[in-house]
Amino acid sequence: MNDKYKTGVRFNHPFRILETLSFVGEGVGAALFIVSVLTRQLAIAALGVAFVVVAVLALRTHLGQPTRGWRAVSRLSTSWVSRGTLVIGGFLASATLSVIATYMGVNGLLLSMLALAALTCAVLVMLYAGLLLRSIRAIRFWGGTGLALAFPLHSAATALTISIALIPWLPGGANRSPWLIPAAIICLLLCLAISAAHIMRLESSAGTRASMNRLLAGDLRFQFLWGAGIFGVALPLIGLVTLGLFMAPEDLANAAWLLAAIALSRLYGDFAYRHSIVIAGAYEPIMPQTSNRIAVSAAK
Amino acid sequence: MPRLGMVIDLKVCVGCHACTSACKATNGTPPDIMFARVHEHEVGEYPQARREFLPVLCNHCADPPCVDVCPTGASYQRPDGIVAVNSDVCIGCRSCATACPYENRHYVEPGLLSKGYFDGDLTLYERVKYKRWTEGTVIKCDFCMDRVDQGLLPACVVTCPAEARHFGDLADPASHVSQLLRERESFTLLPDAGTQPCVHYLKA
Repeated sequence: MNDKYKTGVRFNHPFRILETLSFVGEGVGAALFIVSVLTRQLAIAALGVAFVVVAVLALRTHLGQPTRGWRAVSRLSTSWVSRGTLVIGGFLASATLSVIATYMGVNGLLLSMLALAALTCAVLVMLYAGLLLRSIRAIRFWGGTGLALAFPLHSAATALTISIALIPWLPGGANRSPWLIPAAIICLLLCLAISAAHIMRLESSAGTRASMNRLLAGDLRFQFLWGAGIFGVALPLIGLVTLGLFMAPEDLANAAWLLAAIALSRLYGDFAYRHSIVIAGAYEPIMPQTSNRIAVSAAK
Repeated sequence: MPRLGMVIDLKVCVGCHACTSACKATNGTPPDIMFARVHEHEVGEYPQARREFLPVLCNHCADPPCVDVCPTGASYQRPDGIVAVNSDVCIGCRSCATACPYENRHYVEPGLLSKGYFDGDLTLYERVKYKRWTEGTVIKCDFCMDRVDQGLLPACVVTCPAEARHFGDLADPASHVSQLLRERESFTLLPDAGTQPCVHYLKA
């Protein structure tokens, strides 16, 4: 029987892997664009746009009526989906034009305005997924400011590790951006702290307890603890600290495989974190006295 | 301004699922989608254990979170309080289904309307009834608003053999539903969610 026909704790079912893909794609893509402006690397900006395109494709696949997708900007006053659609559209338009203008050597006011518009949209795109989940009052596990802060931080950490892996091969190399590795380490530490704070400051309820049970002892424990914790934070942190301590920025090209492994590990960890958070979101029992045993055992 | 709502008397509900059947028959919802359902759960321990029934349907909340999150305006609330979906505008993003704390919104998966309840072709009934729905959109209970607009009661109300369901204007102090709520102890589902449901339950 469908989970929704139970009175106990029920887990979120409308948001699944395609939403997670879109959350990761749009967040990391927007963060890559911001890093590209700071490092002045056009290839990273193009990669950022490509990430957001993949996110939009995932989102479009999720829609039941994709041909009507343009209607999604009709309710800006109340709907975070509307606001997200607007800023993602604005980002794609301004960032793509900015990349093309830079590639063609256009300079001056037009390029500055495009870059400024793209940067503004990029920040909003990074914030969007966390704020969207936070706005769903029915799922208390997504509430609070912790998740809304954790999502953009995870995007920034992933974008920085990807940039670190790419930058030795780009014009100017790693010499021009020695701050990338320290910034990535700080971001990863902040990810860890804010994600932990989100979990520790959760409102106590049957739904949030079921979510935590599922993450720490249920079917999502491998994905959450190993995927998000080990692959997403611990391994990239150890790798980046080792590289930062023992390798000069100009020698990073010699550690190409290690940098690629760190970036892929982080990308998988980011996906694992967001996917487990999305999947673990639970509704409160509609009858207060109803036990959550059924839902938790079903999840195991 | 009227505020249409329902009062369900749990003391007389016998868990017969006639409301579920009547809703199915009237609306012709696709397989595995039931707007009106009856949850059953056990209360107490042997030898005092018993089953309790909880008929559920869309709560047509006064502050409906499903309407706020809808990015297209497909989900809307009528002046009389009925919350409905315009299938011609719905893009099937399922934000409303995620936002509803009661999970009373249902997504019509692509291909579901050609599936039917039985192997092979759709029955004549299914062919006629499924024309109302659009694949890839979200559907929900609308208090049988077509019937209500004609001065009739929702199908689940007229069918209930125990007369456990009462429908009317909650904003009118003289209405039957308002009187019931004054006379009997009642509750709503998940009051902490802040949605102000318009389906009330009289305690058993």
